[in-house]
Amino acid sequence: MNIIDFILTPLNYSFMTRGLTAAVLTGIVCAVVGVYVVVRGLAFLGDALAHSILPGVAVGYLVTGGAQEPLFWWGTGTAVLVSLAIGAISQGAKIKQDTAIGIIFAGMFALGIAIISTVKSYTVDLTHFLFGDVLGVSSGQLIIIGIFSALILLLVLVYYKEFLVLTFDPTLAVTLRIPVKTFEYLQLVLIALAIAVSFQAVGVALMVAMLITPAAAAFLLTKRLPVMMILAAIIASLSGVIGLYFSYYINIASGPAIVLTATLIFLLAWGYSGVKKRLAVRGNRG
Amino acid sequence: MISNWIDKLRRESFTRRYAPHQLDAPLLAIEGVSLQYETGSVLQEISFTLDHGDSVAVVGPNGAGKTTLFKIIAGILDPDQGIVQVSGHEPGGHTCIAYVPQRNLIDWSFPATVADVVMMGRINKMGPFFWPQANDWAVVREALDFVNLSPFAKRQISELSGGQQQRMFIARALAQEAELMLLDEPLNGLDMPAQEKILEILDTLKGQNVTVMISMHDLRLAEEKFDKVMLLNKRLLGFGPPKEVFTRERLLQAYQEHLHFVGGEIDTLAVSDECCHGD
Repeated sequence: MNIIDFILTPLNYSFMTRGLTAAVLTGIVCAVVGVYVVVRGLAFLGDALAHSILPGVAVGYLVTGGAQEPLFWWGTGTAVLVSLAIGAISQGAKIKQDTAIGIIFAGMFALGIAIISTVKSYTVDLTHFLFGDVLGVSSGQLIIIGIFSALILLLVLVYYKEFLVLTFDPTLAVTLRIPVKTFEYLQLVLIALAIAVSFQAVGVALMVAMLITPAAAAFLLTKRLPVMMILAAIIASLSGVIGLYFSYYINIASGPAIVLTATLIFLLAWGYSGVKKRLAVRGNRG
Repeated sequence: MISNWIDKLRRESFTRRYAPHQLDAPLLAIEGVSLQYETGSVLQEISFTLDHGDSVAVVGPNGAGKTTLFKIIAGILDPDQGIVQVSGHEPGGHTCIAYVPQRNLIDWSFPATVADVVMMGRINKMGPFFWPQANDWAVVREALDFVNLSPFAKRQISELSGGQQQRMFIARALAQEAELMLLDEPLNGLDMPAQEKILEILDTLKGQNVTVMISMHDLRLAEEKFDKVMLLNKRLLGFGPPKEVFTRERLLQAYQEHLHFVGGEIDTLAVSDECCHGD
């Protein structure tokens, strides 16, 4: 088989083209929002938020009798609510933030599994929610993913400078009279929306990888935030495409294939930045 | 067209309107400001006034409330009691106050260049999105020039030395067009030449009518370099020319058992503060 056949054959299947589009779109959105997650050190919050949408999705699943498309709205609603709750808890509570997040995380996740366990086909459905099924994305879902991806990216672009200052130096944000609390909540809501959009593609268990791995790889390769966002988006898109081809040809689950590809790219970036640093040190000595 | 609309939406929905400056009002007027945390009182009944172009060194032991006072003046914290007015209005309405945080509170691995950080001072003055105009770049270049950091503009911020990092923040305050700069222990952990450079820059600012408050630990440096000093330990123990403020009695009141007089005169006193990490 030549390379062109290798690339084109999977595209004969409409589930593959839909899957690729969904993987690229959700990859870009998660990576761009994930840049804030990485530079602010919110990886645990991202992971918790992803797991916390499970009960919402589960209730939606029961109510609608297994229909896929309404799940997005249930997931989105839950994600936004939980992100606001985490925001409220982290404002001056006695409990440390990571403890509070851990409690919400585990409690919500347990609630989700408990609800799903009332259904007969329990394990099959749970696997689907945990690990996603990007190849099962319908055209209707793809349209919703497209609209929300555009909305998230637009918000990131419009409020770029506010988020930049808030992320780097919150006291500067206050003295420039940026409404810090509003933007902190907005940032959480953006993370929540990115998670809800990507739920179908990678599921809740691997979501955090979509948020942080491409962004972390990009962090190693650049010294500027906008460049980091663009690089993260490119890395995530590549991971989505390469991962799905892997999934197609060697027959492994699509979600893990995407995440493993992103992890591999991260390792390459890590190795490259290490070598570069060592060469720079040697150059300075010489 | 769309960008104008978005800008309008942002200003009306998210950004407060800025207070106009009252020209006959002093730059900073503080009257009876007190603040109490759960752990106890931090500031008690602080009152003083500063004029345009004043340059004041604020000294006092750790926990004296220097950082808290700065944050109240900048509008980051609200006092329990008392009035703070900057050019006749409360600080929350102004964008002309720059607060330079202690260096150890900043994440220096943040993906930004020196010029990027200085540009952050201008985000209120730019249009929508993040599109610095030619005049924004001109201001940033001028600010970097002023603090002698132009050759470092494109470096990642972690590549700077401690003194250069402080100078970058002064440049950011200049880009912000700040009229009042609050520098929280900018000299901490710097060697003498780096401290000298920063003090030189602050000296030049006087000519530009910028008012500076700087907290520091070195009493000798405060006495040598500043016309006005402020001695603080929860209460305002003295404010004025160093010779009048740094009296034996007042210094003992401020530093208590940490103060040792080696000789009989002020210039031979020694202060032993356990550490210098601010309050």
